[in-house]
Amino acid sequence: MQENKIKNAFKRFFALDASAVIVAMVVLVALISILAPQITGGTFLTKTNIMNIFRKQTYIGIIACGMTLVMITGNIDLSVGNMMTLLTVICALLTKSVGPVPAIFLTLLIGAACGGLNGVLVGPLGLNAFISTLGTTSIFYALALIISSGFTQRAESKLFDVIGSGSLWIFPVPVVIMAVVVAIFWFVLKRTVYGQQLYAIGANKTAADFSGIRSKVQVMVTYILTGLCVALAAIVMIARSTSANPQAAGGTEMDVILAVVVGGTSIAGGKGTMFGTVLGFLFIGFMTTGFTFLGMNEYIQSIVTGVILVAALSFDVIKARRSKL
Amino acid sequence: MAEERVPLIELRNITKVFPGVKALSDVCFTVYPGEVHSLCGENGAGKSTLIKVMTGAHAADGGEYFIDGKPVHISSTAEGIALGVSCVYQELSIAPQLDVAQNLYIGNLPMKGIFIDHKKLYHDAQEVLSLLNMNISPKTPAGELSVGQQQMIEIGRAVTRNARCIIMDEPTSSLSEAETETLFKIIGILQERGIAIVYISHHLDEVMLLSDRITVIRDGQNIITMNKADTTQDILITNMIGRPLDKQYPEKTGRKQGEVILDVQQLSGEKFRDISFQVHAGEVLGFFGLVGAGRSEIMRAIFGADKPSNGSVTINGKPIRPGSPADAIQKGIGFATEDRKKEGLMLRLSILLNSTVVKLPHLANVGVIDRKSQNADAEKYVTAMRTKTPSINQLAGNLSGGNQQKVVLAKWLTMEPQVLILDEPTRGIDVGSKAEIYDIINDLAKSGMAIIVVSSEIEEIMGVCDSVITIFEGNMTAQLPITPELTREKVLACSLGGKP
Repeated sequence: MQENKIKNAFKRFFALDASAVIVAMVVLVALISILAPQITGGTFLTKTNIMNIFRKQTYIGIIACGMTLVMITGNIDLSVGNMMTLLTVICALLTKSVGPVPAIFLTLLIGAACGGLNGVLVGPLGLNAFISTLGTTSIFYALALIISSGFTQRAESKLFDVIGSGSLWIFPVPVVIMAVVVAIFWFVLKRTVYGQQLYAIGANKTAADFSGIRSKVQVMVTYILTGLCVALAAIVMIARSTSANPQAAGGTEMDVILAVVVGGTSIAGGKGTMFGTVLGFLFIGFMTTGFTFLGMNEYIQSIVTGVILVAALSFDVIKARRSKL
Repeated sequence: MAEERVPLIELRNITKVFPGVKALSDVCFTVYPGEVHSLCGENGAGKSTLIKVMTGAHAADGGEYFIDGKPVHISSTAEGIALGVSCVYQELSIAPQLDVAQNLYIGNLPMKGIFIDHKKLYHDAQEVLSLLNMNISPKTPAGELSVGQQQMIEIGRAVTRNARCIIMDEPTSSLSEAETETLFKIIGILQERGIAIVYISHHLDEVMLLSDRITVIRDGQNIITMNKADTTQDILITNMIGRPLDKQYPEKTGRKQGEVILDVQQLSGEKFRDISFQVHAGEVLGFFGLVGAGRSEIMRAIFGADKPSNGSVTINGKPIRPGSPADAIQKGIGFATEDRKKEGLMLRLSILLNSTVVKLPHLANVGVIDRKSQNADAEKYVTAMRTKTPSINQLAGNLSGGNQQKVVLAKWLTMEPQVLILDEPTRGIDVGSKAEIYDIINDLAKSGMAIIVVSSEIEEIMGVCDSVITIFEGNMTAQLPITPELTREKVLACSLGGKP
């Protein structure tokens, strides 16, 4: 009797899309916690460390929200890393010339426009998402270098101090911003017509079109929302570091996609949740902070990241195959 | 007589369990060399699973598998092929960019050292093509072939792999009548060479024509195996659904035709010209013609999925914007397409979302879905159409064909459309579910809906429609009221370009 109950609980747990990442996270944290005292003499799971994870990685979490929507429709956005570089540079320069508040608004607007560019290419024009965002990523990178002349741009203001280093009760402001974005996107996906239509588009675009869904427009909007997320992430980033380095954010797209995919969003589209993405984000956070805490070589970290991405993708494919009757 | 020979394939007490479902339990199935053994059963009866066990795509959880009387363990389709068991699936697996010869020998190319032996490849391919009575060059790109010819290439592929048993899963579902006849001839040729055929089809007339023996399975269990001579279509149906089928088509009485709802004038497009007709409230209008005659293209143009080059579509006097399904839906047209899986359903999503996806904007306040109404709508149609499912949260892909079709119907009915276009509404659906779909069509017509049924089954047209329009090479050749005097032959003649 008791045994059966436990068995059933296990079964139900493993049926969850998020089961793999939860197990992986527990194993990871346990490993690091055991290894940490022996290698460094310190304790890993402390409040400071955990809050640091959040504080440092929030920009990944914020962008991952937009990316989840894009990937649910079966598309991808490879340009988010360099788009963020461009937007931090723009935000820094604008802060110096027009002050922080207008700079924030303009950065959000330009972010939406950058996303809109991707969106038009993939949505209305129907170009391949992979190739077109690979194209725009190099445009964004070049623009960032041109605008900044290749130099780090400083941007200081009291507002940024609050955003970057302030706290609401025990929660750092960036974490609060991320939580709000997550909550909004969770609601959009779960409860709105738009969110549900994104699943329909990802699961079967032809059927969605035949059901009266304007899929081209809806796909474009996912990119615009992603652009907004990137702009927000850029603002948080600048607020934390008070400077914009045109070389800093390259490679962010890798971490973002990793978080989304590890969180159970299918690269084929039609499947994914904000809950999963948050778990994926936490996993990446624990992993990178933990490895750094242990003093692991940066290149080795990259290898591990790559292995985990491939493993997560294979898990997705294997699970899909097994569930087929 | 056959019992004294050693069976080519013998399955004994095969059991296969999927999470939550016992797909096969204690199923026995034997195939002798050179025989056509048909496998009949409703959707979800376990036919596909049984085939997959035979080919090695699934491993059985219990039971024994013998080939030539020797026990075998096949754990992949490659091993199955090596032992002579090949399957021609419903979904064609032709590589359109490659030529015919390469498609025939795909995965099995003749080699000379590390290079492909092109001379032998095209020589051997030519031999296979002449065996199949196909008058095409082995260098033709496979993408240029008709669906029927592609199917022959699939069969040819099995021959090149020295298959001794070829499993054909719904081989005629996308073939024209002429192509079907060619297929039957090929089956005869293969039989003469001692190749056994396992034939699966919902068309019981084909089953009765071709088979030496017929096995019926239901709910994953053997029901009966009969020699063809000892059975009839009715006996087969009774065994398949577990009770006698009282009637296939509902009585058409009680339907009253009202005003003109849909008016199509001089509609022309790439594959059809000058199509004009009207559909009244409460009328069921049939469209009959060969596969490729342009029937589906006409429907796509009416619905706005394709832009017509000329002509107009009005509903209750209001014109429909060409090329916009959203506008057509808004004005009251529903379109259940021919290809359920590609154009109709999101297989990986729930019945709930699938059946409310069209109505979703109307089930929301400022974009936020009212979940109570959404659930209620989905539940309503599951109950009304007796869709067999544990819950509305079940994935559409886990349903049987007939139940999937009900979800497609539900998706349109939630909108309460004034015109409902049904393109091949019973393709790939078993007899029991077919009768249910016909009942639904009849009830909708009684409620005053204008319905168009496109079909390549003449019985279906005669059984459910009030009148029929025949299409030949993109032209309307006749509009005939369906009366007891109207003969099949006349409709067929019109669909082949004859004068009414």
